[in-house]
Amino acid sequence: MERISALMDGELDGDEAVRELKRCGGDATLIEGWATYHLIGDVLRAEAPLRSGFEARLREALAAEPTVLAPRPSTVQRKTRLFALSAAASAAGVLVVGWLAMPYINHPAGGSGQTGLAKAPLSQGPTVAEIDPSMKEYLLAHHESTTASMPSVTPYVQYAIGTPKEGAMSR
Amino acid sequence: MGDREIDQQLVERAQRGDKRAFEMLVAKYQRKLGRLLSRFIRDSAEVEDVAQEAFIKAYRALPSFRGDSAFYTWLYRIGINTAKNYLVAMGRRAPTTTEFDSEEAENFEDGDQLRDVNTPEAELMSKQIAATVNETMQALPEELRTAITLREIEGLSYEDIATIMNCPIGTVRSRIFRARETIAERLRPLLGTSKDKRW
Repeated sequence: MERISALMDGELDGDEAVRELKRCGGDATLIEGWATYHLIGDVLRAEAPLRSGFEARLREALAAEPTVLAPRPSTVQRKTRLFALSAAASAAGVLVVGWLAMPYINHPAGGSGQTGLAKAPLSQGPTVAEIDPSMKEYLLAHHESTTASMPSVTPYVQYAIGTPKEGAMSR
Repeated sequence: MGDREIDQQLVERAQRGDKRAFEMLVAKYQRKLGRLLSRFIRDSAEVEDVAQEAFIKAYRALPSFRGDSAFYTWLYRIGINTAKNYLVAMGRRAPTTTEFDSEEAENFEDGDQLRDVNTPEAELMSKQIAATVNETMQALPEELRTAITLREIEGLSYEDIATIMNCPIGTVRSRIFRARETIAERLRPLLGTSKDKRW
Protein backbone atom coordinates (compact mmCIF):
# COMPACT_ATOMS: atom_id res chain seq x y z
CA MET A 1 0.00 0.00 0.00
CA GLU A 2 2.95 2.33 0.56
CA ARG A 3 3.71 2.12 -3.15
CA ILE A 4 0.14 3.22 -3.93
CA SER A 5 0.72 6.22 -1.69
CA ALA A 6 3.93 7.05 -3.55
CA LEU A 7 2.29 6.36 -6.92
CA MET A 8 -0.47 8.91 -6.41
CA ASP A 9 2.19 11.45 -5.43
CA GLY A 10 4.00 10.84 -8.70
CA GLU A 11 7.03 9.52 -6.81
CA LEU A 12 7.42 6.13 -8.46
CA ASP A 13 9.73 5.64 -11.43
CA GLY A 14 8.17 4.79 -14.77
CA ASP A 15 8.56 1.02 -14.68
CA GLU A 16 7.65 0.77 -11.01
CA ALA A 17 4.58 2.92 -11.57
CA VAL A 18 3.45 0.79 -14.49
CA ARG A 19 3.91 -2.35 -12.41
CA GLU A 20 1.92 -0.85 -9.55
CA LEU A 21 -0.91 0.22 -11.83
CA LYS A 22 -0.99 -3.29 -13.22
CA ARG A 23 -1.22 -4.70 -9.70
CA CYS A 24 -4.19 -2.42 -8.99
CA GLY A 25 -6.13 -4.08 -11.77
CA GLY A 26 -6.26 -7.32 -9.85
CA ASP A 27 -6.41 -6.13 -6.27
CA ALA A 28 -9.50 -4.41 -4.87
CA THR A 29 -7.65 -3.49 -1.68
CA LEU A 30 -5.17 -1.40 -3.63
CA ILE A 31 -7.97 0.40 -5.48
CA GLU A 32 -9.76 1.03 -2.20
CA GLY A 33 -6.55 2.50 -0.80
CA TRP A 34 -6.13 4.66 -3.91
CA ALA A 35 -9.70 5.95 -3.55
CA THR A 36 -9.47 6.60 0.20
CA TYR A 37 -6.11 8.35 -0.06
CA HIS A 38 -7.49 10.60 -2.78
CA LEU A 39 -10.50 11.35 -0.60
CA ILE A 40 -8.21 12.31 2.29
CA GLY A 41 -6.20 14.63 0.07
CA ASP A 42 -9.35 16.26 -1.30
CA VAL A 43 -10.78 16.79 2.20
CA LEU A 44 -7.51 18.33 3.36
CA ARG A 45 -7.76 20.72 0.44
CA ALA A 46 -11.35 21.50 1.46
CA GLU A 47 -12.95 19.69 -1.47
CA ALA A 48 -16.27 18.34 -0.28
CA PRO A 49 -16.96 14.66 -0.89
CA LEU A 50 -19.97 13.74 -2.97
CA ARG A 51 -22.86 12.01 -1.26
CA SER A 52 -22.39 8.50 -0.06
CA GLY A 53 -23.46 6.05 -2.69
CA PHE A 54 -22.22 8.11 -5.63
CA GLU A 55 -19.41 5.72 -6.37
CA ALA A 56 -21.62 2.68 -6.02
CA ARG A 57 -24.21 4.14 -8.39
CA LEU A 58 -21.59 5.10 -10.91
CA ARG A 59 -19.93 1.72 -10.65
CA GLU A 60 -23.26 0.06 -11.40
CA ALA A 61 -23.81 2.34 -14.37
CA LEU A 62 -20.31 1.58 -15.65
CA ALA A 63 -20.87 -2.13 -15.23
CA ALA A 64 -23.87 -1.82 -17.52
CA GLU A 65 -21.74 -0.15 -20.18
CA PRO A 66 -20.19 -2.30 -22.89
CA THR A 67 -16.48 -2.63 -22.27
CA VAL A 68 -14.45 -0.11 -24.19
CA LEU A 69 -11.89 -1.60 -26.53
CA ALA A 70 -10.03 1.09 -28.39
CA PRO A 71 -7.92 -0.19 -31.28
CA ARG A 72 -4.24 0.31 -30.61
CA PRO A 73 -1.83 1.10 -33.38
CA SER A 74 0.12 -2.12 -33.98
CA THR A 75 3.90 -2.29 -33.90
CA VAL A 76 3.94 -2.81 -37.66
CA GLN A 77 1.83 0.28 -38.17
CA ARG A 78 4.10 2.29 -35.91
CA LYS A 79 7.19 1.08 -37.77
CA THR A 80 5.55 1.84 -41.10
CA ARG A 81 4.64 5.31 -39.93
CA LEU A 82 8.17 5.86 -38.66
CA PHE A 83 9.63 4.68 -41.96
CA ALA A 84 7.25 6.89 -43.94
CA LEU A 85 8.19 9.90 -41.85
CA SER A 86 11.91 9.17 -42.29
CA ALA A 87 11.47 8.75 -46.04
CA ALA A 88 9.47 11.96 -46.27
CA ALA A 89 12.13 13.83 -44.31
CA SER A 90 14.88 12.47 -46.59
CA ALA A 91 12.94 13.38 -49.73
CA ALA A 92 12.30 16.85 -48.39
CA GLY A 93 16.01 17.25 -47.68
CA VAL A 94 16.94 16.19 -51.21
CA LEU A 95 14.38 18.59 -52.66
CA VAL A 96 15.69 21.50 -50.64
CA VAL A 97 19.30 20.78 -51.59
CA GLY A 98 18.28 20.37 -55.23
CA TRP A 99 16.33 23.60 -55.24
CA LEU A 100 19.23 25.47 -53.68
CA ALA A 101 21.68 23.96 -56.17
CA MET A 102 19.49 24.62 -59.23
CA PRO A 103 21.17 27.91 -60.30
CA TYR A 104 24.59 26.27 -60.18
CA ILE A 105 23.46 23.25 -62.16
CA ASN A 106 21.89 25.37 -64.94
CA HIS A 107 24.86 27.79 -65.18
CA PRO A 108 27.96 25.84 -64.16
CA ALA A 109 30.38 28.37 -65.66
CA GLY A 110 28.69 31.41 -64.29
CA GLY A 111 28.93 30.77 -60.58
CA SER A 112 26.80 32.65 -58.19
CA GLY A 113 26.93 35.83 -60.29
CA GLN A 114 25.35 34.23 -63.37
CA THR A 115 21.76 34.65 -62.41
CA GLY A 116 18.99 35.67 -64.73
CA LEU A 117 19.20 39.25 -63.52
CA ALA A 118 22.92 39.43 -64.34
CA LYS A 119 22.51 37.86 -67.74
CA ALA A 120 19.85 40.16 -69.07
CA PRO A 121 22.01 43.21 -69.90
CA LEU A 122 24.72 41.01 -71.37
CA SER A 123 22.40 39.40 -73.87
CA GLN A 124 21.21 42.79 -75.03
CA GLY A 125 24.68 44.10 -75.90
CA PRO A 126 26.50 43.79 -79.26
CA THR A 127 27.76 40.30 -80.13
CA VAL A 128 31.28 39.25 -81.04
CA ALA A 129 30.10 38.76 -84.60
CA GLU A 130 29.41 42.52 -84.78
CA ILE A 131 32.89 43.47 -83.63
CA ASP A 132 35.17 44.83 -86.30
CA PRO A 133 37.99 42.29 -86.93
CA SER A 134 40.55 45.05 -86.64
CA MET A 135 39.13 45.89 -83.25
CA LYS A 136 39.67 42.26 -82.25
CA GLU A 137 43.30 42.50 -83.14
CA TYR A 138 43.54 45.74 -81.24
CA LEU A 139 41.99 44.20 -78.19
CA LEU A 140 44.33 41.22 -78.32
CA ALA A 141 47.32 43.44 -78.71
CA HIS A 142 46.09 45.65 -75.92
CA HIS A 143 45.52 42.63 -73.78
CA GLU A 144 49.04 41.36 -74.29
CA SER A 145 50.47 44.74 -73.38
CA THR A 146 48.39 45.10 -70.25
CA THR A 147 48.41 41.54 -68.93
CA ALA A 148 51.50 42.14 -66.89
CA SER A 149 50.07 45.21 -65.15
CA MET A 150 46.46 44.02 -64.87
CA PRO A 151 46.46 40.21 -64.63
CA SER A 152 43.00 40.10 -63.12
CA VAL A 153 41.50 41.52 -66.33
CA THR A 154 42.86 38.73 -68.55
CA PRO A 155 40.01 36.29 -68.24
CA TYR A 156 37.43 38.97 -69.04
CA VAL A 157 39.23 40.10 -72.15
CA GLN A 158 39.62 36.53 -73.37
CA TYR A 159 36.03 35.91 -72.62
CA ALA A 160 34.84 38.97 -74.53
CA ILE A 161 36.92 38.33 -77.53
CA GLY A 162 36.81 34.59 -77.77
CA THR A 163 33.19 33.96 -77.01
CA PRO A 164 30.95 34.62 -80.02
CA LYS A 165 27.84 35.41 -78.03
CA GLU A 166 29.36 37.94 -75.68
CA GLY A 167 29.92 41.53 -76.68
CA ALA A 168 29.81 43.55 -73.54
CA MET A 169 33.45 44.58 -73.85
CA SER A 170 33.33 45.24 -77.56
CA ARG A 171 33.93 48.89 -77.24
CA MET B 1 6.01 9.11 -13.22
CA GLY B 2 4.06 12.35 -13.07
CA ASP B 3 0.39 12.92 -12.56
CA ARG B 4 -0.42 13.30 -16.25
CA GLU B 5 1.52 10.19 -17.18
CA ILE B 6 -0.27 8.18 -14.51
CA ASP B 7 -3.61 9.35 -15.88
CA GLN B 8 -2.49 8.43 -19.38
CA GLN B 9 -1.50 4.97 -18.20
CA LEU B 10 -4.91 4.53 -16.59
CA VAL B 11 -6.64 5.77 -19.73
CA GLU B 12 -4.70 3.32 -21.88
CA ARG B 13 -5.56 0.48 -19.56
CA ALA B 14 -9.22 1.49 -19.67
CA GLN B 15 -9.01 1.67 -23.47
CA ARG B 16 -7.84 -1.92 -23.43
CA GLY B 17 -10.95 -2.92 -21.53
CA ASP B 18 -9.84 -2.51 -17.90
CA LYS B 19 -12.83 -0.88 -16.22
CA ARG B 20 -11.05 -0.73 -12.88
CA ALA B 21 -8.51 1.64 -14.37
CA PHE B 22 -11.35 3.98 -15.29
CA GLU B 23 -12.79 3.58 -11.81
CA MET B 24 -9.47 4.77 -10.42
CA LEU B 25 -9.80 7.91 -12.53
CA VAL B 26 -13.32 8.37 -11.20
CA ALA B 27 -12.07 8.00 -7.62
CA LYS B 28 -9.42 10.58 -8.31
CA TYR B 29 -11.51 13.23 -10.05
CA GLN B 30 -15.09 12.85 -8.83
CA ARG B 31 -14.89 15.56 -6.15
CA LYS B 32 -13.00 17.93 -8.38
CA LEU B 33 -15.58 17.48 -11.11
CA GLY B 34 -18.43 17.82 -8.61
CA ARG B 35 -16.95 21.04 -7.30
CA LEU B 36 -16.67 22.35 -10.83
CA LEU B 37 -20.24 21.48 -11.74
CA SER B 38 -21.59 23.00 -8.54
CA ARG B 39 -20.62 26.39 -9.87
CA PHE B 40 -23.61 26.42 -12.17
CA ILE B 41 -25.86 23.68 -10.85
CA ARG B 42 -26.98 24.48 -7.33
CA ASP B 43 -28.71 21.31 -6.26
CA SER B 44 -26.20 18.71 -5.04
CA ALA B 45 -28.30 15.77 -6.22
CA GLU B 46 -28.37 17.29 -9.70
CA VAL B 47 -24.63 17.87 -9.52
CA GLU B 48 -24.10 14.21 -8.85
CA ASP B 49 -26.45 13.17 -11.63
CA VAL B 50 -24.58 15.37 -14.09
CA ALA B 51 -21.23 14.18 -12.77
CA GLN B 52 -22.30 10.60 -13.26
CA GLU B 53 -23.50 11.31 -16.78
CA ALA B 54 -20.24 13.09 -17.56
CA PHE B 55 -18.19 10.12 -16.38
CA ILE B 56 -20.30 7.73 -18.43
CA LYS B 57 -19.92 9.94 -21.50
CA ALA B 58 -16.18 10.08 -20.90
CA TYR B 59 -16.04 6.32 -20.64
CA ARG B 60 -17.93 5.92 -23.91
CA ALA B 61 -15.67 8.45 -25.58
CA LEU B 62 -12.44 6.87 -24.35
CA PRO B 63 -11.56 5.40 -27.77
CA SER B 64 -11.35 8.94 -29.12
CA PHE B 65 -9.04 10.17 -26.38
CA ARG B 66 -5.52 10.36 -27.77
CA GLY B 67 -3.76 12.14 -24.93
CA ASP B 68 -3.36 15.44 -26.78
CA SER B 69 -4.58 17.16 -23.63
CA ALA B 70 -4.46 16.06 -20.02
CA PHE B 71 -7.20 13.65 -19.06
CA TYR B 72 -8.72 16.02 -16.54
CA THR B 73 -8.90 18.83 -19.11
CA TRP B 74 -10.75 16.51 -21.44
CA LEU B 75 -13.00 15.26 -18.65
CA TYR B 76 -13.87 18.77 -17.55
CA ARG B 77 -14.85 19.76 -21.07
CA ILE B 78 -17.19 16.82 -21.13
CA GLY B 79 -18.50 17.81 -17.70
CA ILE B 80 -19.17 21.39 -18.74
CA ASN B 81 -20.90 20.33 -21.95
CA THR B 82 -22.98 17.81 -20.04
CA ALA B 83 -23.98 20.49 -17.54
CA LYS B 84 -24.88 22.93 -20.33
CA ASN B 85 -27.04 20.33 -22.05
CA TYR B 86 -28.66 19.48 -18.75
CA LEU B 87 -29.50 23.10 -17.99
CA VAL B 88 -30.90 23.67 -21.48
CA ALA B 89 -33.00 20.54 -21.16
CA MET B 90 -34.30 21.81 -17.85
CA GLY B 91 -35.18 25.16 -19.41
CA ARG B 92 -32.52 27.00 -17.45
CA ARG B 93 -29.86 29.32 -18.70
CA ALA B 94 -26.66 27.52 -19.61
CA PRO B 95 -23.34 29.24 -18.93
CA THR B 96 -21.53 30.65 -21.94
CA THR B 97 -18.09 29.55 -22.93
CA THR B 98 -16.59 32.79 -21.71
CA GLU B 99 -18.26 32.35 -18.35
CA PHE B 100 -16.58 29.07 -17.81
CA ASP B 101 -13.85 27.53 -19.86
CA SER B 102 -11.77 24.49 -19.15
CA GLU B 103 -8.73 26.53 -18.23
CA GLU B 104 -10.68 28.22 -15.49
CA ALA B 105 -11.98 24.83 -14.46
CA GLU B 106 -8.48 23.54 -13.90
CA ASN B 107 -7.57 26.48 -11.72
CA PHE B 108 -10.85 26.60 -9.85
CA GLU B 109 -10.09 26.29 -6.13
CA ASP B 110 -13.24 27.37 -4.32
CA GLY B 111 -14.56 24.37 -2.42
CA ASP B 112 -17.26 26.09 -0.37
CA GLN B 113 -20.09 26.20 -2.84
CA LEU B 114 -20.85 22.52 -2.97
CA ARG B 115 -21.04 22.33 0.80
CA ASP B 116 -23.47 25.24 0.87
CA VAL B 117 -26.01 23.54 -1.37
CA ASN B 118 -25.71 20.02 0.01
CA THR B 119 -28.77 18.26 1.29
CA PRO B 120 -28.83 17.68 5.06
CA GLU B 121 -27.81 14.06 4.55
CA ALA B 122 -24.98 14.92 2.24
CA GLU B 123 -23.91 17.81 4.40
CA LEU B 124 -23.81 15.57 7.44
CA MET B 125 -21.73 13.04 5.58
CA SER B 126 -19.35 15.70 4.37
CA LYS B 127 -19.02 17.12 7.85
CA GLN B 128 -18.41 13.74 9.38
CA ILE B 129 -15.73 12.92 6.88
CA ALA B 130 -14.09 16.31 7.25
CA ALA B 131 -14.27 16.12 11.04
CA THR B 132 -12.75 12.65 11.09
CA VAL B 133 -9.94 13.67 8.78
CA ASN B 134 -9.20 16.81 10.78
CA GLU B 135 -9.39 15.13 14.17
CA THR B 136 -7.10 12.35 13.04
CA MET B 137 -4.72 14.88 11.56
CA GLN B 138 -4.50 16.67 14.89
CA ALA B 139 -3.80 13.41 16.66
CA LEU B 140 -1.00 12.42 14.33
CA PRO B 141 2.58 12.59 15.49
CA GLU B 142 4.05 15.87 14.40
CA GLU B 143 6.44 14.43 11.82
CA LEU B 144 3.57 12.60 10.09
CA ARG B 145 1.30 15.64 10.20
CA THR B 146 3.99 17.88 8.79
CA ALA B 147 4.86 15.45 6.01
CA ILE B 148 1.29 14.97 4.79
CA THR B 149 0.51 18.68 5.10
CA LEU B 150 3.51 19.62 2.98
CA ARG B 151 2.47 17.05 0.41
CA GLU B 152 -1.30 17.43 0.22
CA ILE B 153 -1.77 21.11 0.97
CA GLU B 154 1.49 22.64 -0.18
CA GLY B 155 1.93 20.20 -3.05
CA LEU B 156 5.66 19.71 -2.45
CA SER B 157 7.66 16.82 -3.86
CA TYR B 158 9.20 14.22 -1.60
CA GLU B 159 12.60 15.69 -2.33
CA ASP B 160 11.54 19.15 -1.18
CA ILE B 161 9.86 17.73 1.91
CA ALA B 162 13.00 15.76 2.71
CA THR B 163 15.03 18.95 2.52
CA ILE B 164 12.60 20.83 4.74
CA MET B 165 12.31 18.04 7.28
CA ASN B 166 15.99 17.21 7.07
CA CYS B 167 15.47 13.50 6.54
CA PRO B 168 15.91 10.96 3.73
CA ILE B 169 13.33 10.76 0.93
CA GLY B 170 12.49 7.22 1.98
CA THR B 171 11.51 8.51 5.40
CA VAL B 172 9.24 11.11 3.82
CA ARG B 173 7.57 8.45 1.73
CA SER B 174 7.04 6.29 4.81
CA ARG B 175 5.70 9.17 6.93
CA ILE B 176 3.21 10.26 4.29
CA PHE B 177 2.01 6.71 3.86
CA ARG B 178 1.63 6.19 7.62
CA ALA B 179 -0.29 9.43 7.94
CA ARG B 180 -2.66 8.45 5.15
CA GLU B 181 -3.14 4.97 6.47
CA THR B 182 -3.89 6.23 9.98
CA ILE B 183 -6.57 8.58 8.65
CA ALA B 184 -7.92 5.93 6.29
CA GLU B 185 -8.35 3.51 9.17
CA ARG B 186 -10.53 6.04 10.95
CA LEU B 187 -12.52 6.79 7.79
CA ARG B 188 -13.29 3.24 6.71
CA PRO B 189 -16.07 2.52 9.21
CA LEU B 190 -17.64 5.85 8.37
CA LEU B 191 -17.46 5.26 4.65
CA GLY B 192 -18.65 1.70 4.96
CA THR B 193 -15.66 0.80 2.90
CA SER B 194 -15.63 -2.86 3.15
CA LYS B 195 -13.79 -3.96 0.08
CA ASP B 196 -16.96 -4.84 -1.80
CA LYS B 197 -18.51 -1.42 -1.31
CA ARG B 198 -15.78 0.96 -2.26
CA TRP B 199 -13.21 1.19 -4.98
